[in-house]
Amino acid sequence: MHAHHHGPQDGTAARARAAVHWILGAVAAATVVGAVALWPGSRTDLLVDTPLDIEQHDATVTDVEVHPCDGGDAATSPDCETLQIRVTSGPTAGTDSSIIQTFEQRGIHVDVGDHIVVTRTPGAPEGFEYAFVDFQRQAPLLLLAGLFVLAVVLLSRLQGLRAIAGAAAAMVVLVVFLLPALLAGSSPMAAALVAASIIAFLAIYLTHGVNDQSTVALLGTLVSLALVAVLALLFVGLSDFTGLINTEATMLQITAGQVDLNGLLLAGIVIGSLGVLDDVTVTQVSAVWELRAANPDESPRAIYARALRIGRDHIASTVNTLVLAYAGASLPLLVLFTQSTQPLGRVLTTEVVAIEIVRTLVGSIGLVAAVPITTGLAVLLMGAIAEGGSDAVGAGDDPEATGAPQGGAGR
Amino acid sequence: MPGHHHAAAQGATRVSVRVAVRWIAAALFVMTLVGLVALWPSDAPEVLEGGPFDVEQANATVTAMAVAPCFGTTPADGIDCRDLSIRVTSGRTDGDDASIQQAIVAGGIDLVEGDRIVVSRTAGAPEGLEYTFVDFQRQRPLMVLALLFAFAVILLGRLQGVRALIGAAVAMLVLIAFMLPALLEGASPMLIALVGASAIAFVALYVTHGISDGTTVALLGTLASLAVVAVLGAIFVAATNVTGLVSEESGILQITAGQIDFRGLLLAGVVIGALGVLDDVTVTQVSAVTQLQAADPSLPPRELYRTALTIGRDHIASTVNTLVLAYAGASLPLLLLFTQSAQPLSRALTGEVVAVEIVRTLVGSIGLVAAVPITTGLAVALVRRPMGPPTEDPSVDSVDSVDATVSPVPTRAPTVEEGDGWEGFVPEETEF
Repeated sequence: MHAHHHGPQDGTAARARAAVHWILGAVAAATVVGAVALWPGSRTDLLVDTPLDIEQHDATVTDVEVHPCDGGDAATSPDCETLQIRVTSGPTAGTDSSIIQTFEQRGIHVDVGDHIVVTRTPGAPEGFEYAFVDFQRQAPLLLLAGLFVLAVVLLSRLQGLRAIAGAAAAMVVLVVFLLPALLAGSSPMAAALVAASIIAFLAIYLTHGVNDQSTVALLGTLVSLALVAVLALLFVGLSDFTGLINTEATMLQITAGQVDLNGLLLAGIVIGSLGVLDDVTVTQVSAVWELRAANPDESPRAIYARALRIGRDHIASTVNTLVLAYAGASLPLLVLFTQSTQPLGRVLTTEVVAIEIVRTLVGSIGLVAAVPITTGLAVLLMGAIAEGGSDAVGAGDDPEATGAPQGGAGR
Repeated sequence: MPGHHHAAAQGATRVSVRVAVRWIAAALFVMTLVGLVALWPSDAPEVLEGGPFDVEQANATVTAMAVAPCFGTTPADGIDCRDLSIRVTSGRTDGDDASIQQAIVAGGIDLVEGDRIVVSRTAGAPEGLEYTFVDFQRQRPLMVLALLFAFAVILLGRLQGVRALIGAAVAMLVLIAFMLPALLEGASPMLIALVGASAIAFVALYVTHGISDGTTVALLGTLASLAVVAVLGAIFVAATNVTGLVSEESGILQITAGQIDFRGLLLAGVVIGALGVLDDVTVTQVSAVTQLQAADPSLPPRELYRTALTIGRDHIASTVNTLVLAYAGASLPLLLLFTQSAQPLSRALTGEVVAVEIVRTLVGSIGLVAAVPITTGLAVALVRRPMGPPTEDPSVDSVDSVDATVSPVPTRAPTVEEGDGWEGFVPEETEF
């Protein structure tokens, strides 16, 4: 940061910062306590030796032959294909085998040389021991991830690297804490809030460094997150969701009946909105700091107004962000509804769609609230540092006005 | 609000940059119109009338609930069901009283008296089987939530918030009136997505942010980044061999609308999904450049670019985990299943369901990252206008609107005192 500090930091500024640090310290302590209380005990029960536990291996297609099924006559019987494969992983690595399946089943076209994933049923007759499951995708996905990392690091240098470390930390929290805790049957809302808080601390401090800017952004993020949690509780309750919307949820009810599906929905809303929230709060704090650096003599009010204007543009563009993000991810569903004879109102309020509406609207409201909250906090703290001594400055959750306008009065 | 112009020397190049930007935008606009006309769906989408998917639905209210032996069982069997009395409140049989029987199962849906539900009707079925429970009615809470959202947006964004809401409504209209029917007809999903996305970008950006060169720059940055997304998306959807057929919806569509190219549909989804995030970033960058320029008009272009890029960098750095978390939040049930699964993590990550989401978010994010330098560079080239009539200048427009929006701020903004001294606020020309 290339701040231009003019006034010396005195008692007022120190008090404002101390208050912010105290609040954050309390949140951090609560988070640690929550994490300890909800920490999942032992490794969750894997579905070993259940019907859902299927042996999968990699294989390479060495030959494809299309022929009529069952060796029947070509005119009447549908086309089948026999894939010659070589298994390349697992206990049977190196074996050659074959797979007989309907030609282009489910629109999947397999070619010689394709790297595929197969399941194995030991003891099944030749041609049926293995079955095609999916294509292998490690290589292109790794390439794409590499491209993304490259682009981020190219633009954001060290900060980009730290952001990627922060995202990795978020994934670790999800995999090591949140998912096992949910499976163990903990309250999804409590687990999600604790996880979100850990992720916010890690991600923001890792990405943006331990400094006043990050602290303000973190505080704004946590306050907005609390708002999201309350709204989510309220509207998921009012909307009578069952949580049984998709195959995964239905399967979970069988394999992990202790999981509260509605709670899972709430947890999903909290976790999902966290990423967008810290984006907005960091941008707002960054804008305030940059505006101040560009013109250190501008009054806090002027900086607030300018930063809010950047935030306004941000929010205005966010309104359609969520509509489009949802529409993009659900095109097949939407196309299907276009064919339906039900009126639009009915379609929009069915559970599958309504859940996405609640998810995006609750997240967006939190997002909108994050802008004035964070900008106010940032200007307050920045103002306290710069104008320290001349004004009484409220701290943290006490948004009392700073002093008289001083724009341009500095010299 | 007079600016502080230092040199007229570079005037010619600035003007030509602006003219070029306008021409490119105009050309793209014409191409979008041509695309809209060429791809416009010829007739109404073929609905599933009379098919197995055509079910008559109506609203109903539960008027009473009693536990009784299920149909075909005696009390001695001890198999209890819920007998629900309902009153139909919409549709052809509005006002009818009927009954529904529901099995009592663990984790099932427990209806109680007073619940407002949706039922389907099978005309001519025997009493007790004519209606079945489909879903709860949710109009009211959803409306309240939508209003709350609109209220929050307008409270913070004022007029611009209203315009943003209009922009989002138009986006939905383009989606419903053009894209979905066109997709259903089986035209190239990628073309439809690009034309639709371009139409949405034009309308959403100009309606939300006003017609100015600043908005045009944001628009060009958005469309350029969208092109990056489309190309990368096409490459990686092909490279990962995803079929687009894994969801239940796709499975049904394959039966009811087999003419659709499902891999293309997936790509179209990637492009449309990225659009919303992209215009967010590009508008923020243009806004940052104009605000910085207004805060200190003496900043040299290089410095302006560097400072605005710092804001963009923070933005991008925070975006890295945005997508991870947004996806994780929406897929908690799936992730839980994988946690239970005995398959290794890499197997779970590369299965089609997850791989599609990874491609979607990574391709979108790369477009997002690319959008920052593209848009910032364009905006800086434009904003440092040396001379010219202020009314025609985009940067000055934006700066003026800061002053215009300042007056409502004190009512909400804790750090701004009620109405004094704003008229005196003019960015000082400060050397430091």
